[in-house]
Amino acid sequence: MTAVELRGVTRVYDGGVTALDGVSLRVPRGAFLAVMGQSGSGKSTLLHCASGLDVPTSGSITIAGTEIAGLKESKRALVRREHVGFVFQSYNLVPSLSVEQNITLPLRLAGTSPDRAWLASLVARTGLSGMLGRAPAELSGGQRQRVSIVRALAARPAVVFADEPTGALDSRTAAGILDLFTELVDELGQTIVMVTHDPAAAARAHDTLVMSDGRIGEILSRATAGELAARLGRVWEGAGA
Amino acid sequence: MRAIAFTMARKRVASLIAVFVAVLFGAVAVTTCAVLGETGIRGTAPPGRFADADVLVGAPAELEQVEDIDIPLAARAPVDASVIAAVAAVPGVERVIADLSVPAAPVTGGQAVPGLTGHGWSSAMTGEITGRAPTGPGELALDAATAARLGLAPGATTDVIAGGKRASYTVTGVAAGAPEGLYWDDATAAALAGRAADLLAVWAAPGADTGDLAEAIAAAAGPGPVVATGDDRGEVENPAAAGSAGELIAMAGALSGTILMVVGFMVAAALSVHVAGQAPELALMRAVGATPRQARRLVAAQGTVTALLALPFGIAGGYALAGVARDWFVSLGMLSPEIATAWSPLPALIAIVLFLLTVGLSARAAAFGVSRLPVTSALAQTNTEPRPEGPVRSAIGFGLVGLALVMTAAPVAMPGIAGLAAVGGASLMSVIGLALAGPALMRKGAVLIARFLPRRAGVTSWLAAHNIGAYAARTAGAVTGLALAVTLAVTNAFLQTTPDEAARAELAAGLSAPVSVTAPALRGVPAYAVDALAAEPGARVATFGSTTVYEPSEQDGKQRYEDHPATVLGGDVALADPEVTDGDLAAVKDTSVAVSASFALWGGLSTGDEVGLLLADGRPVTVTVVAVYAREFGFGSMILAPGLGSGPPSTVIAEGLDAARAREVLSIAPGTLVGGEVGAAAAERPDKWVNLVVIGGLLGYVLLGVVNGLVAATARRRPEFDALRHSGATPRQLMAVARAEALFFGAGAAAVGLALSLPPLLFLGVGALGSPLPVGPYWLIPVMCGVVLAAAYFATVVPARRLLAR
Repeated sequence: MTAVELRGVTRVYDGGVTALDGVSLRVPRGAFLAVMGQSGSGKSTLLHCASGLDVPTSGSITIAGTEIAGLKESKRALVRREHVGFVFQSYNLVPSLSVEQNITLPLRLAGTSPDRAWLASLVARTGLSGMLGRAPAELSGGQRQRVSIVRALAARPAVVFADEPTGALDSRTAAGILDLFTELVDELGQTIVMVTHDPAAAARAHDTLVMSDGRIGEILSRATAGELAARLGRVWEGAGA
Repeated sequence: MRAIAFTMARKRVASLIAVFVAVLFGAVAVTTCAVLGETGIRGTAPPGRFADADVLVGAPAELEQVEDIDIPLAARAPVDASVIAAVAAVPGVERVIADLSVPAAPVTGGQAVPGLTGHGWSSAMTGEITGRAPTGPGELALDAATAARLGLAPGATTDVIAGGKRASYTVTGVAAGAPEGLYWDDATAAALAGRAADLLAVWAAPGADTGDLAEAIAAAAGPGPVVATGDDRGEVENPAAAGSAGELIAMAGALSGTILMVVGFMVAAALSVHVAGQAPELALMRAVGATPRQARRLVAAQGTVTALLALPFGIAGGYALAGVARDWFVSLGMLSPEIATAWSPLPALIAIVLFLLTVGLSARAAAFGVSRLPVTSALAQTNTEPRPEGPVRSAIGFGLVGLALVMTAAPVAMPGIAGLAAVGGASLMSVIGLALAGPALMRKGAVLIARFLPRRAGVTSWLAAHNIGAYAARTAGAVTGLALAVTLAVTNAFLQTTPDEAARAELAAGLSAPVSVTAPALRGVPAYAVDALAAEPGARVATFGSTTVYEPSEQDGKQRYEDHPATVLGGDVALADPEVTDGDLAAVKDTSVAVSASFALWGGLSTGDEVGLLLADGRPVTVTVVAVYAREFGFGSMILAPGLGSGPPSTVIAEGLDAARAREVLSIAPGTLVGGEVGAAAAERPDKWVNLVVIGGLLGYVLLGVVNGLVAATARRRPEFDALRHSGATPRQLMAVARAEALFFGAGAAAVGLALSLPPLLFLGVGALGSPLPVGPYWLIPVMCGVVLAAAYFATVVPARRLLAR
């Protein structure tokens, strides 16, 4: 089963900058993929295109079997709502809503009734019980990120895209979030694609994809943080040469 | 610092444009008002007929008030014969003309010709005449233009209605060089006028110094008369023009309050939107070492530069508009055409100082919150919206609104006109309170909406309600502005129409009789027509006229006067019914008067008390209260006997004969109308239109500012829309949220605006009309609600669509 597949995806921005250059990639269900690369390597563009937030200039993208490359934003939004969850560095919680309202927001927007048992199990797993009535502003960074993770999973998406999910957190809190990701993948079979520049974070993933100049540089499996740091160092050297 | 301010400003052009527009149109309004006010203060009519005379002597046209604007008198006192003689005897006086002006209506072809004035022959000041000068009671001369218009030549005879009677005159001559008018010989003119002179025109002997002569004349004339030379002569010759200038001052003064409040509000609102938009930058500036003061100065500098750019255009527009407005006032008959617009740099200076102060203060106040936060929380705060509004601010706001609502009950507690002033003040106060309490009110309102929103209303309405509450500070200015527009329009309209309607209804009820007679063409019903009606067997006749009385008072040892509308009631007063609550209306004669309930209340008066007054021409008189009445909208503060009034009655009512018979009787008096609406002339006020135009203009200004603010606020919602997008919201749903928000706060603004204007109007209705339903343009209420909804809708939905299209 394939969660996301990209074939020959190119994204050229206004002004001629090629952010993605013919990228092809298949993410199977249950995969935990880390995307690394220096700034400007195209890793964020990859995430935006693969998740349907942005449209590629050419190429094909399927999410859970649905081709989205040619769809309008309104159609893509429906696909995203059904199949994609998002976790951002800045949490992107709606400040006017309580924790519970934020978590159920995707379901309300989709007009489906929430699976109470599923949400309760997620809340219990993330340790958010007792905080459901609070406003996001009353939570710590780690707690906010947990809320956004529950929100991302609320609709049982085919894939969760995480953009630097630990970027704003201290190392201990970050480790907790990564533990949670690992748990979700291993125990629930959740597919996660995570963009990060932190080798320690990437080391928790099954596979790590290293982007360079808008292309996939290499793919490492089950690499340790030290190996990743070394590889990345090489890529940076290569880029600098 | 200036460079930084400039760079920051460049990124916020949209919200600075809103500030620019607010200052631009605000400056137009303020400058116009200031120029008109100055025109009223400085603008004097140049002398007309007596431009050649060196010195003019006449009764004062104004009541002087220390440290306040003088009050124009409604009528002019005559100059005594003894003064004429004394002035003529002053050494250095070559010639004195005792001038009289008497409304005169020649009858040609059975019609009265309106608009002409008769004088004594010496006022013609010409020897150039075809035929000869009038010398006896039955003779008349005319200026050439009037003679041509009436088709009269020397030797012809014509009837003229003047001095309360109709008489036949033989035209003895046509004077080509005379000012427009009819000329009797001086004795006939004095007899028709019933007085010796309205003013004296004095020519100095060759070689005499005008200044010295004026001093000598003033000494000879004694206290009372005004002795004028140079430009001051205009006011003595034409006190009506000076009076209309005084009205202009009063009007500019009354409007300036509303204008300043609205303009200040809109400029502050535009600046607060601008400041809120750059809160992240300000926080960053603070983080890299800017002091709170510097942060505030940054914002103030942007506002000041914008204001300086807008002011020249606004001020120029204001001067141009003032010229147009002056012409319009003249065409409405509110301002004498002799008064020219006063041009000086003063209004520009006023506008510049006022706006720089307002902008500087508002900008600093708007930036105060962000600039004072600790640096760390300043950075954190800017990701979410501004913190909840200060509790003190909200408490003051709600307090003011509450107090205003209590004040609106005044018309119930205080009868009549006294309560009206309180209502006007209350609506201003409630608007200021609303501006302060706005964010808190919106937050609370949103909570209510969210709670009572039906489940099936859908996720977008639910989100909209939450957003309104959470982002209250962002849109509160705009919503308060919309509510202000509704309150301003509705209250202003009904505050005018309801008393007008009350006056009309009270006069209709208080002067109901089978026959009513008016004579606008004759400037009042002449005495012989009244006599003719009264002479009919079985007829009972009463006369009704309007005048003004001035109530003197002392304030901190300074002399003050308050003017009161009053009624002159003569003949068979039992025909009139002002709803006497105490005493007897029939006792109103000589110096015995009836006073309104309000006047009695304020003055602590009851029947039998004496009170000192000044009559319309400034004559002091002590009157005795013999009755108290309730219908003060129709009859004013006081009912006087004819001896204390001035001029002929505007309306005559009669009983004991029918309209057909009355018309037959009055065929001798062309120009009289039988059956015209009672007191209609009194109720029609030209300043109604001025108010309408000013309020309309201010409304447009408020709407413009609100739309600007909403557009700027919506343009800043990208992060919020992104968060919703990532939660799975489709563009259609985001638009639906924006639409629902617009409708919620459009409806909220309309509801709050109506809620604030309805209590005063209900109480006003009870106080003025005795029914809770005020009378006025009811269509205005749905129209204003529609305008407010449409403004909120388009100002939100259009920028939201642009935001989503990107």
